[in-house]
Amino acid sequence: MTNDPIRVLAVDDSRTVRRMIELTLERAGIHATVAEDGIDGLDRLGAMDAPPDVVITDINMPRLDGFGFIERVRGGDRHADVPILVLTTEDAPDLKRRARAAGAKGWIVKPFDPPRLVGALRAVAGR
Amino acid sequence: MTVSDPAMDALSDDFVEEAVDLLAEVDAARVALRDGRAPGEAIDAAFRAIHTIKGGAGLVGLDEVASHAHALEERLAAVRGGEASTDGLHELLASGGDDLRRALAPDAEADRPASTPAFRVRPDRADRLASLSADLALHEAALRRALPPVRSDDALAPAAERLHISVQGLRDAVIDLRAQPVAPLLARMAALGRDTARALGKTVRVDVEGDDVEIDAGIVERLAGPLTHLVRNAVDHGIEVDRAAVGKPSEGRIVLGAVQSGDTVVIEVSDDGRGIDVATLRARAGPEAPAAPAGGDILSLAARPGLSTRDHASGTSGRGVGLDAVMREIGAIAGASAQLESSPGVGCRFRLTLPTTISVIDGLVCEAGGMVVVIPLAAVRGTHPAAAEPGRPVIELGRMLRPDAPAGDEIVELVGPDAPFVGVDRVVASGTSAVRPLPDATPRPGWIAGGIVGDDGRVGVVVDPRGLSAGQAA
Repeated sequence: MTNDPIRVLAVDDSRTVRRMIELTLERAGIHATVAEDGIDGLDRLGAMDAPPDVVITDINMPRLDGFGFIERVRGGDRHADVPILVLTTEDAPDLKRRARAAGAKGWIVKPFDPPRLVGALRAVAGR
Repeated sequence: MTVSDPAMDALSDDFVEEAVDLLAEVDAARVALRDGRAPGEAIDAAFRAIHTIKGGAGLVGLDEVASHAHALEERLAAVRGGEASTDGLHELLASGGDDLRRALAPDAEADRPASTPAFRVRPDRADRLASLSADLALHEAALRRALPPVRSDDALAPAAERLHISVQGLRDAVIDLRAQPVAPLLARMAALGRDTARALGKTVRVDVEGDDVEIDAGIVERLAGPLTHLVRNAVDHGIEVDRAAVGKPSEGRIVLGAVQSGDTVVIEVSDDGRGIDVATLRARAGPEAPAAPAGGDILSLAARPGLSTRDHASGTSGRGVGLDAVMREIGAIAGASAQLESSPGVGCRFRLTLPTTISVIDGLVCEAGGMVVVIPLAAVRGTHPAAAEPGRPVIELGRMLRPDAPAGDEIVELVGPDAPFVGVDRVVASGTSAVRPLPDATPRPGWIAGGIVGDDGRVGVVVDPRGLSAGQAA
C-alpha cells in the first residue's frame, strides 16, 4: 500500500460532467485525467506508462460508447485489467447488467454525489 | 444536490454554455430529419445530445431543464425503439428544443448573485456615450496644450490635474461599459466548427483557449464574420480527409485562442491540417505576386480575390481560401491587423491583433499630401528620415491622396516581415485619436480604416496597414 495519490481516468462526453469530476477529484487529492469519448479514452489510457487506479466511463458517447470502450480495453493489450466503473442513470437496470457482462467492476449513479464518488474511487483503488 | 462554492457554482454557467452547443446539435439533427438526410443518425445524434443535457442539468441542479430534457428524451427513445413513428418528429425536436432554450435562459439569470443585477443598454446610446467621452478626452488634451505653463501655486494646476484624471477615468469607464467577453463568440465558433466537421464527415476537435478577454461590443460584432470564414476554411480546406495517410492522428485539431496584452487582444485560429500550399498559390498568382515571404507571414500572397489552390468550389466554403473577404472585414476595424503563418503539412495559424476599444486608438499622427494621417501604433515598428536608397518599396501616402505630391521626408516602418515602408511628409506626434468608422456604404480605398476629426478641426484618415501592399509602392 503506497501513499501515492490515486490516479483516475474519467471518460464522459459532457464537458460539465468532466469539469465536475476534475474539481471533485482535485479537491480530494486524486489525480484526474479526462477524456471526451471512448476513442479519446483509449488514446489516453494507451499513453499512460502505469495503469490508472480506476477508470470511470459514461455509456452514451459519440464515436465509441462506454460498452465499446470497455470491450476494447478488456480485449486489448494495454492495461487490460484496470478496474472500470460505469456512470449510469438511475433508471437503467439493464445497463448495469450489460456493464458487468462487458467487464466493468461496478457502477456509479448519475447525477453523482461528490463525496460518494470519491468514496467509491477510494474503495476500488484500495486506498 | 446543493453546492455552495464559487468553482462549483461556475459549473452551472459552463453547463449552460455546453447545453447551448448541444441544442445546436439537436437543431442540426432536426434539419437533417426535415430534409430526409440519414434519419437514423440524426435521431441518434439528437438523443445523445438531449441525454447529455439531461445528465448535466441534473448535476448542476437545474431541475426544470432536466425534466424538459427527460420528457424529450423519452419520446425520442420511443421512436428509436420502434414504438413510435417518426411522424411529427421534426416538430417535436423544434418545440422541445425551444422549451429547453427557454428553461435555460431564466435559470442562467437566476444563478447570477443578487449583488450584480444587469440591465440592457441600447447600442446607439452606448455609441453616443463613447463618442462624447472620446471627444471630451481630445478637447481636454487640446486645452492642456493651449494653456500657458501653470505654476504650482496657481489654482489652475490642481484643477487641471483633477480634470485630467476625471476625463481619463470617464474614458476607462466607457470602455468598460462597452466591453464584452469574447468567450461566448469563440464558443459559438467552436460549435460551428464542430457542426461543419460533422457535415463533412470529418473528425475534428475544436478547442477554445485563453484568457477571459473582453473587447468592445462593436468589435465583437465585426469579428463574427471573419471568424466564421476562418473556422469553416480550417475545417473544410485545412483538415485533411485522410489524415492517417499523412501520418497524423485521425482527429483534426483546431484551436481558437484569445490573449490580452495591454491595450490589444490577439485572437488566433490555428489548425493542424495541411497548411497553405504557398508554391501553388504563388504560381497561380502570376508575375505580379509579392516576392517570396521572408518570414512566415504569407497573408499578402493568400489574401487576393479569387485566388485558390483548389480546382473546384466546395459547398461549405466556396472557392478559394476566401481570405480577401476576411481581410476586408478586418480592415473595417480601425487599428486591427492580421498575420497568417503556415507550415506545409503541419498546419496554419491566423492571428488577429485587435484594439480593445473601437472609438479611440493610439496612433502615430502624421501629415501626408496635406492631410492628417493616423497610423495605429500597434502596426508601427519605428520611423526614420527618408533616405535616397530606401532598401525596400516605399508607399508614398501623400501621392495616394494627391498624385502630384512630392515624396515624403519621413519613413514609417510597419510591423510584419514583408511590410513596405510608408512615406509621409512628417511625423507630428503619437497620440490618441477618436476614430469615426466610415459609413459602410462609403466607397473607399482598402488602406483607409476610418476618419478622424482633429482637435483643430482638420479631418484626417486612419490607415489600415493591411490595405497597403507593395503593389502601391512608387
